[in-house]
Amino acid sequence: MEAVAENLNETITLRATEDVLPWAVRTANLCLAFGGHQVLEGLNLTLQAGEAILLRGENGSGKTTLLNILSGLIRPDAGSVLLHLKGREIDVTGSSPERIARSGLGRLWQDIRLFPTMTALDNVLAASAELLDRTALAGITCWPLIRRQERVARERALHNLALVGMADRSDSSADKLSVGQMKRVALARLLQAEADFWLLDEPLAGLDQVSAEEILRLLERFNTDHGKTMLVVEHQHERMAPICGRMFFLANGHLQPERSV
Amino acid sequence: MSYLLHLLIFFQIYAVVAMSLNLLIGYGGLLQVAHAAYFGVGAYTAALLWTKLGVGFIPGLLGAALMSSLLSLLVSLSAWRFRGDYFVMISLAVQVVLYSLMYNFMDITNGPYGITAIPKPVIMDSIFATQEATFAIYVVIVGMLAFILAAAKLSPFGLSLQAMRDDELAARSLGIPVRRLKVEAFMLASAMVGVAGGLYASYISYIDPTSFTLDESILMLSMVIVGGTGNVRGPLVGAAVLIAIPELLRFLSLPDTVAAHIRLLAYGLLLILMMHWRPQGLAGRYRFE
Ligand SMILES: Nc1ncnc2c1ncn2[C@@H]1O[C@H](COP(=O)(O)OP(=O)(O)OP(=O)(O)O)[C@@H](O)[C@H]1O
Ligand SMILES: Nc1ncnc2c1ncn2[C@@H]1O[C@H](COP(=O)(O)OP(=O)(O)OP(=O)(O)O)[C@@H](O)[C@H]1O
Ligand SMILES: [Mg+2]
Ligand SMILES: [Mg+2]
Repeated sequence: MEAVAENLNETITLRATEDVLPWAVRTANLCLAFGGHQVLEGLNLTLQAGEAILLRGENGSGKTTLLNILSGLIRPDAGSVLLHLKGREIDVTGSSPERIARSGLGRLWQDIRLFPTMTALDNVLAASAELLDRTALAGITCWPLIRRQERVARERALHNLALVGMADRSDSSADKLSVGQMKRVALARLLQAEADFWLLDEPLAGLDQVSAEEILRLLERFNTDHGKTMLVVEHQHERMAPICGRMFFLANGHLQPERSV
Repeated sequence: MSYLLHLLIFFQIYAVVAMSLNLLIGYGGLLQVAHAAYFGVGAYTAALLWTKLGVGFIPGLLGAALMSSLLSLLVSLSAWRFRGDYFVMISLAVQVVLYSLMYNFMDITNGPYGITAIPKPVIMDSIFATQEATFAIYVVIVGMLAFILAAAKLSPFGLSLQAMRDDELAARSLGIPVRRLKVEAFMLASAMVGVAGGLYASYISYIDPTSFTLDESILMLSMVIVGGTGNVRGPLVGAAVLIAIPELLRFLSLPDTVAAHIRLLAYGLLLILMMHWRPQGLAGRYRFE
């Protein structure tokens, strides 16, 4: 336990220099109640571009609810969500999930949610953000162009599958994969969608020691090498903390900064 | 009149019907219960363009495609507020409304008397009057339609439809514009089935509203479910099987009044057996749930 705390303090001082980076996500005064039960009460949170934040909180404290608001599934009663990704600053309060996703937000679902009847490769390919022209008209008319776009997207998808160590399973049906493998494909999908801000809902849940360590290394790598901004909800905070710069605890609808475990 | 050729021409027409419906059900996971109505809209549009306005055969078919797909766009836009399961109700209403329009709009559709003397295909001054000629020209047209549908299914559009079918929320959260995809899928499928309606009208040369009822829509659904959804082969098998059933029953030489009921019974039985033993259909890939 002490070792972890030490490790953590070290990380904090290391990351403190990053405060000069531009912000990537900013929520102001988020409020949400479910039928009289106030879940979020004026929640403020700012993430700097490229930083990873760990969010903890008791069961039912509203962590998933916060992620749902950020990804556009729930509209907050009050407050706003601003994204500053891909060089654009936009207010996405109450926007649709599609629009928010196209602005650069991606989510790893707690229950993963791959497309079960599709192969690993098609799962990744379907996520290709701006690369594919998805209209029916394009599909039936300009197919030489479509084929070319698709070839590029396919190469990128294979590359992304290789990055998460799933290149050899690209033709496996998604519902035949193990939980750890599914999570890897889901991460490749986020890379393919060119998401810059990742919401990770319990990325280590359901994994054995070895797989958890592997996913952890991948996340660390996408954060440091690829500069992905991450908001991680994770109960296994001892494992997660070393790769996260700051930690927050969600209670009574507010965030409290945590400096040690 | 060759009996076999007659069946083959029917198979061509219903192959288009089943393939286009498969785009919605098998690829998009969208339940469409008004397919026969759009088939009818295509049939009436083409028949009226040919008989009343003297439009050419191919322009008439294009008109049928345009009319059906614009109508589906209109339905999608006016039902924009409705979601998911409610849309099945809307589609049911569309089926009923279109049928009663065909039945009651005497001035245009000639109501229950239907439209007669619909001409055979004429393309660049050649008349395709015989059954053989009709079969040949339909091979070309149906081949083109099948090609277009296959291209759509294999394109990023088709892939996105499948993603939406598998998990709509996950798809949306990856930026896949599911609403637009649905509207486009309905427009494309309606255009295709509209052309099939035109081919039907020209082949049998007489149409009336009874060919475009809810029962017909359910027959079309059965083709897709029996054949199997989510691939190209399935609906073809389904169309062939459901065209064959009434013909096989014919050999029992039942009296006409009984035969119709027996046929419905046979369809129902087949559906139940399929659901039980082979939910993915005879030749399908995706399990219909
Ligand atoms: N759709 C909903 N309708 C009504 N109440 C809801 C809804 N979603 C969540 N809640 C309530 O909001 C509160 C916060 O739930 P949330 O799922 O965000 O918690 P959590 O922090 O993710 O918990 P856990 O750690 O168990 O996943 C809970 O009291 C829950 O019952
Ligand atoms: N059976 C159908 N026939 C024709 N169009 C349909 C059909 N089903 C859906 N649509 C079209 O797709 C639109 C979107 O439907 P859908 O149920 O996906 O809404 P939604 O995306 O869930 O809406 P929201 O974003 O408000 O949750 C419908 O309004 C309609 O235009
Ligand atoms: Mg939760
Ligand atoms: Mg919806």
